[in-house]
Amino acid sequence: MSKNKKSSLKKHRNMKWAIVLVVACILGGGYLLARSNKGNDRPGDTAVNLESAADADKREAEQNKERLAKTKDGSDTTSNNNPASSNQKKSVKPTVTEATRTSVRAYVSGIFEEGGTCTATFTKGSETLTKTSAGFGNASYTQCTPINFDSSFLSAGKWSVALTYSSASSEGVSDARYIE
Amino acid sequence: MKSFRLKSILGFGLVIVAAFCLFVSLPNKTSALSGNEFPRGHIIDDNIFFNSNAMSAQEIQTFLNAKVPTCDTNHAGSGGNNPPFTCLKDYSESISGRSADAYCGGSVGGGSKSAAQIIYDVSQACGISPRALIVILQKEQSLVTDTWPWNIQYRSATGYGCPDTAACDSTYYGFFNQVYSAARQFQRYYKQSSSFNHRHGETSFVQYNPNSGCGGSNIYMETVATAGLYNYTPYQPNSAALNNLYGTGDSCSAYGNRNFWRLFNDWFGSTRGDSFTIANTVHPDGSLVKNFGEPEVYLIVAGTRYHVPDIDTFNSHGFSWSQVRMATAPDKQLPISGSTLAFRGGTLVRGDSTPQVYSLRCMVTFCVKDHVSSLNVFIAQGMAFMDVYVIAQSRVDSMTSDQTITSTTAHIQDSLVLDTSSGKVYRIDTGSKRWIPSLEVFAANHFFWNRVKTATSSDLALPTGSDVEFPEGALVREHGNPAVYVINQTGGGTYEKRHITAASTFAGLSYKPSDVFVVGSSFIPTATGAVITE
Repeated sequence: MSKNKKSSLKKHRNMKWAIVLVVACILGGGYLLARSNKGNDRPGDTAVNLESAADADKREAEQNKERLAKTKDGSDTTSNNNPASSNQKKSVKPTVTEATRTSVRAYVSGIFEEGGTCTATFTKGSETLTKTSAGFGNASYTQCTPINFDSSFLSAGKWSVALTYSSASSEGVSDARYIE
Repeated sequence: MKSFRLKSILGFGLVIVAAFCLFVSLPNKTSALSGNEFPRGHIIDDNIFFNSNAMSAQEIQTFLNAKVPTCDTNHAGSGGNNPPFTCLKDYSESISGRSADAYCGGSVGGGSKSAAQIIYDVSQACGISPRALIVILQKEQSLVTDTWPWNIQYRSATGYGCPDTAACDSTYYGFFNQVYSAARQFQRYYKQSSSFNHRHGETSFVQYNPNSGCGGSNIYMETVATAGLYNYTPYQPNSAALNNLYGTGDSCSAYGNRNFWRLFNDWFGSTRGDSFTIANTVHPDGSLVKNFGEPEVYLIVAGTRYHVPDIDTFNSHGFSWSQVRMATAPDKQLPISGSTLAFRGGTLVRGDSTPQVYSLRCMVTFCVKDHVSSLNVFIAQGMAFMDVYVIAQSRVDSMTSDQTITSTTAHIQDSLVLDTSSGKVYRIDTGSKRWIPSLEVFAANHFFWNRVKTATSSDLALPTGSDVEFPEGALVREHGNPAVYVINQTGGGTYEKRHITAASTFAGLSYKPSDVFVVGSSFIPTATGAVITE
């Protein structure tokens, strides 16, 4: 084999390795790129993520089933927040989300029902005032219709307000909130 | 030498290829969501949440197919839930449909429908984005990604009527019933907001968990949709929930609104469009405002909203839709006048059953009509029939008749006339001619070039009044000065400038840089009024 032929063969071998390297890089890079996008990356502003469910979403689906299996709703019961056979009312604790000199807003978690009454009781020293509104089912809880009143309703000074909820099946009172 | 060059080229090529390989191999994780980005008061823009046209029924189906490529139909049963299981992409239901009501303005037809079709139909009927509905189905019951969902997940698909610690209300059982009830409820939150705890443009307290001992914080509700999400699920994520965005937090964590935000971002992109935070301040006088989702447009004059009653009135003022701003929460508190906005002065009208043409002279809420006495006068005044609004006869009849226009030599009140010798354009106003000193002032006053007529000698003989100024509500800034002002007319009829102090307020009032007239300082009033700030 002549020196020239040897050199040419070496060159071809180098070229082959270079091509193999390029192909390997592209395939490997493409694979890693695809993998990296299988996570929880956001799509672009207008794109829709059409990847199959991410691991976190699959995990949440299983956790949701575990939760359902544990809750009362996991069985095939129909809605009945208060068994008719029992005279004991369910104890609830309303949450006051807003208490100002002109309004009180509240809700009751753990029940979804119509027909209950929300009563805001305002106290300052020996003075007691009340305002009521109707409760109604909202999404997953019972909402008190916001209680609105004129700014002259409460005299100057610090008042406390507690909200009592009462229905045929449930009752309870919130923590007190203060109105300056 | 040749071999060295070849090696160099080969080597350089390999470096480039290696760099490319490295680039494409690097995980593209820069866009992953982080819990500290959770925008408590702005979970999603209204124009995204209420965009019912975000997906077609086929696109919804394609999305559901993609999320669960293979359904585990024959998964082993558990807790009384036995195979075969049906995944959301394959689910269908026979529904009786719903007619339109005050909250869902469209009806939904009955029949056997796929889940994708139900989602689409409800989004169209109730004006809620199908993307938002898909995310709600996932956050409530994981239905989108579940490979073997139970019947009760469909029965309570959106969690509507399902309290945390009691059984669901059977009134709302069923996949369609659930999707429809949830969508309709979000419209209730918007259209009947005074009945609910969280309202757009207001601050309210949101707990971290049903347990009040876990605490909470006040949140300013920047969008209608955000207030709606907190009304639907009245909890916000605590820091533990946000620190582990794709997992669980602690005993005080709640996940509903966190998961809505996270899932929407991961599946459909940002919950924030090219929008802005609506400013917490009133639009200045002279502004046109409109409540989101409602058709009524109002002009604010002296702190009162005047309803623009029809398109003719709107057009007569030279308004354009790009000038109609999204009403802020304080705007919505402004009183609404019992009278609607009148036509603009100088508008030509005739009743739809009589030929008489009138030119109107108007105040904010009423006009008097001046009869154009003849065709000769009509032509001599440079009037054109295409400029005559044909309106209800009763409306014309209700206007007080005042003068009869007979002049063929002098243009009437509110005419625009061009002095051909000086090139100046004047507005005829209460017996005087007032120069319009710049193109910007002309445009800001919504004047029309095709209404400019050649001045007569009688017009030019009129005494010269003050120059026409920028009108109330116009946005101006001086050349080379970034400070933007709104023109305001004082009670005394003089003009002043009001500085908009922050770029965020400017954007929050839905102004755009192109709305601002850039002029010389002589065009901007020297008197300064109250700043516009939040």
